[in-house]
Amino acid sequence: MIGSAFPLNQFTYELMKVILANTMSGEGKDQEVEQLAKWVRSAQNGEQKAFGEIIRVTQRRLIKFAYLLTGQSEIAEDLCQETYLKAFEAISSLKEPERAVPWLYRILKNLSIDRVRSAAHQNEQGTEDLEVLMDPTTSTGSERHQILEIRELMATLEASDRFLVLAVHLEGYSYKEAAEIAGLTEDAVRLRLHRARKFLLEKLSDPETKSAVRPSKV
Amino acid sequence: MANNENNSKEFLASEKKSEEQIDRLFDSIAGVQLDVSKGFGDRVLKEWGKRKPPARSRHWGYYAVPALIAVVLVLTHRFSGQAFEAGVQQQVAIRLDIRSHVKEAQCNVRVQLPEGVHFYSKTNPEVQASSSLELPCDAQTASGTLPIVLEGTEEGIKKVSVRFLDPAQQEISRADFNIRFRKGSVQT
Repeated sequence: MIGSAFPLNQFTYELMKVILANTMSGEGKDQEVEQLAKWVRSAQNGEQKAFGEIIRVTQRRLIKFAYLLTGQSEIAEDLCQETYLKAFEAISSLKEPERAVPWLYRILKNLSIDRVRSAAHQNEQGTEDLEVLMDPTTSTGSERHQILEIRELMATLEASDRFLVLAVHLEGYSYKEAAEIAGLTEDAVRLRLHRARKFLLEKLSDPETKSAVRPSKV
Repeated sequence: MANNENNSKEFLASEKKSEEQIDRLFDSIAGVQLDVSKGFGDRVLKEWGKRKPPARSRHWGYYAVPALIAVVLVLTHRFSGQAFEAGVQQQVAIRLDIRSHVKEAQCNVRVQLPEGVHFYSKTNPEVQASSSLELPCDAQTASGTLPIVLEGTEEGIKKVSVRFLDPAQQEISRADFNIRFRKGSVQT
C-alpha cells in the first residue's frame, strides 16, 4: 500500500528502500551510462556480444517503463523487443553512445503508439499479469499492490502524457531532456505535465476513485 | 503588478508542490524491480539474427538499379521537386538527392506510392507488390543520391511521398513529387 496507512515496520522498510535507491542513483547511473556507452561502441564496431550486453544492462529500466506505459506485461515485453531491434538496426548512427538510454526511450515512444492503443482494448489484467515480470521471491505483496495501483492510475492518462509523466517522474529526466526524447518543445512538456499532474492529483483526492493510491508522506 | 507577482509565485509554489507529490508517488516504487521474462535476451538476439539483412538485399535498389538502367528504357531525372512525365508501363528512374534533405550520416528513406504506381526491379520483382518501401541511405556516399525505379499502370498525375527518417523513425524531411503518366512513350 502506498498510503500512510501501512504499519510502521512496513513504512520504515519502504522508506529505507527509497533512500537506498536515491543514494545509489547518482553514482550508479553514471557507471551504468559509461558501461552502456562502452557496449554501444563495441556494437558499432560489429562485436556481436555487445548487443546482448546492451539488452542486459538496460532491460530492467525499459520493461518497468514499458509496463507502466502499456499496462500489459506481454505488450510491454513485445514493445521492448521491437525497441531493441530498431535500435540495433540503427546503432551505427548513434553519435553519442552516452545518450543511449534516452535514445532507446525515444525509439520506444515512437513504437508505443499502436501498442498502447492495443493494450487499451484488452481486458484489464490482474496480478497474474504482473507476476510474469516480478519475481515473487524478491518482492513483497505491498510492492505488487503498489505498482498495480500506479499502473491503473497511469491508464487514466492520455498515452502521450503518460509517457512524459514516466520520463520525468519515474526516470528522473529534466523537462528539457523529456522534450528531446518526446520530440516536443520544453513549453509543451511543461504544459502537458501540469495538466497530467493536476488530473492525477484530482484522481488521488477523489474518494470515489477505486484505487487506494496515495503519495506516501516520506 | 504586485498581484501578478503574487499569482505567479503562488502558481510556481503550487507546481512545485504537485511535482513533489507525484515524485513521492513514484519514489514509492523506486525499489521495485521488474524484469523481462526468462530467455528474453536470447529471443531478441535470435530475432535480430533473422532480421539483420545481408547488405545486398538491404540495398536492393542501390545495386539493382544501375544494371537495370542499362537494359530497360529508363527516363532519368534529377529529383528536385518538380513534376515528372512518363509513359504508362514505362519505367522511370528517379534519383533522390539525399544531401539536399538530410545532413545525418545515416538515415532511412520511406517511399510511399499511390494507387496505379508500383516499384520496379528486374532482379527483385517482389517489390512490385509493396506500396511502400523503406531503404537505408547514406548522405556521405559519393553520389549522395538514392535511385528508385517506378512504373505507372494507369494515366494521370500520381503523387509520390518521400520521407527522410532518422534512426529513431522521426521525420527529418519530406519531399513529395508528382509524376504525370501518359499513354505511349515519353522522351526527355
